[in-house]
Amino acid sequence: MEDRGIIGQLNPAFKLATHGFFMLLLTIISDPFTSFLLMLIPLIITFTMLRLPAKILFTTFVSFLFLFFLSTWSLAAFGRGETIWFQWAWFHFTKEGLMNGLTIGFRMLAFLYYGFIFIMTTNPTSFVLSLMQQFRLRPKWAYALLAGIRFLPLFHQELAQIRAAHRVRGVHRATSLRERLQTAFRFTIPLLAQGIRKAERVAIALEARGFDGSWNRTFYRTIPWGYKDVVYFVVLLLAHGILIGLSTALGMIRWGLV
Amino acid sequence: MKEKTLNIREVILTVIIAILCGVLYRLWTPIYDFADLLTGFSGQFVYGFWFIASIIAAYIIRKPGVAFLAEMAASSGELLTGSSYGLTTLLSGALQGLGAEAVLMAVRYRRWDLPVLMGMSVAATAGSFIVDYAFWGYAEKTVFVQTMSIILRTVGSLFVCGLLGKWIVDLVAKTGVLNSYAIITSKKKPEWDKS
Repeated sequence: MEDRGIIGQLNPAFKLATHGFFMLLLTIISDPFTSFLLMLIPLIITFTMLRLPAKILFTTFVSFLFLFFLSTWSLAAFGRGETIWFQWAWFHFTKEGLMNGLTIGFRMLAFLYYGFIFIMTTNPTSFVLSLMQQFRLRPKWAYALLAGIRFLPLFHQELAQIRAAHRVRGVHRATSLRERLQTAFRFTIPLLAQGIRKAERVAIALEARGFDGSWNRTFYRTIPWGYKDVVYFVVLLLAHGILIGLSTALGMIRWGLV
Repeated sequence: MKEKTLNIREVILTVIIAILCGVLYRLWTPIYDFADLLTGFSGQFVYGFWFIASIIAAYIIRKPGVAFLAEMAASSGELLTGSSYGLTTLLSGALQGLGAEAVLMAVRYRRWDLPVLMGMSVAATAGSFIVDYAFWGYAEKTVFVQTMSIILRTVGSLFVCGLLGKWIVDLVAKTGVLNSYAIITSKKKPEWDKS
């Protein structure tokens, strides 16, 4: 994705740190009501500030909702608790389990939206550059990551090529489970081998141009940071403060790890 | 070849392997989610697949730090291709990688046989449970589901991560693309030189 909208102008590394901070805050809240309120923050940002096409927003919303149900279910149906509603084999539906399940579900939703905002508003290249420039990721690793990101589309090509090669040699379509597993290997090994060859070529090309991965270098493209990043953090902090205050006033909040 | 630090060739190799694994992880997530969450623990046996990047990279390159960094890079790759677990994948990656790295540190980066690789898988499993207990409420599940999860994931990781990882790398090594890496050069006499 490109650096999109207002949030796209923020410094990617600081944006990641900010999101990480509020995600940690969510993990020490253990009641569904507060979790739900706090989940609304990234949700509202997603729907108002990203300016994505409605179709993408809709499909994202539905798929996230599905994951929300799955993770709520994982505690509602298998959770510990006193008030047992229904029990069968190892399924164990309880009131406490459902409450914890909802907390985890909303936490999951919030994490998903924070991740979604990050991915949709951040160009991977500027992200890696900013990790290097602000968070002191070693250039050796940063440039390796940049090369790796560029390889992602190439792997799709590679996959198509392997498939074509199989077809030319008359490898028939897998039907049984055994054959499917064999097919997985038939793809994995050449894909890895090609990846390793490509990695070697890139490394030699980099070294040939005098790249030594040290800090003894300058940057053609610098990723700035400034008051906008602070504002983003403060606005989120205020929103969280208000909602947590509201929940405390209503007596709903419960701190602690679930 | 007895240098301790990674050279550029090895760094790029680690990242490429990790990103390839990251893509596979990403494809793996929905299948696992569905299989596991519906019945509570049925997907746990194949959970170990998520640690395979550190096994593959460390087994090939055999230097300190590779296992950790490979898993970190794999989780960033997974994140950048849109993982459904969002930013927690980074934390999972870090803890799983640290687990795998700790085992290698314990054997002082001298042994690279199957028991060590399997030990790495088990340690990575332990790392993965830290995240599950801290973020995803595993402590609130019934004791039965918790026990089954721990047993299945640990036993599964021995096969899906340790054994499978070694098997894949050995097969790739046969193609000859790894001839200049520690996995081949550390042997007293290379495979292709035996006559």
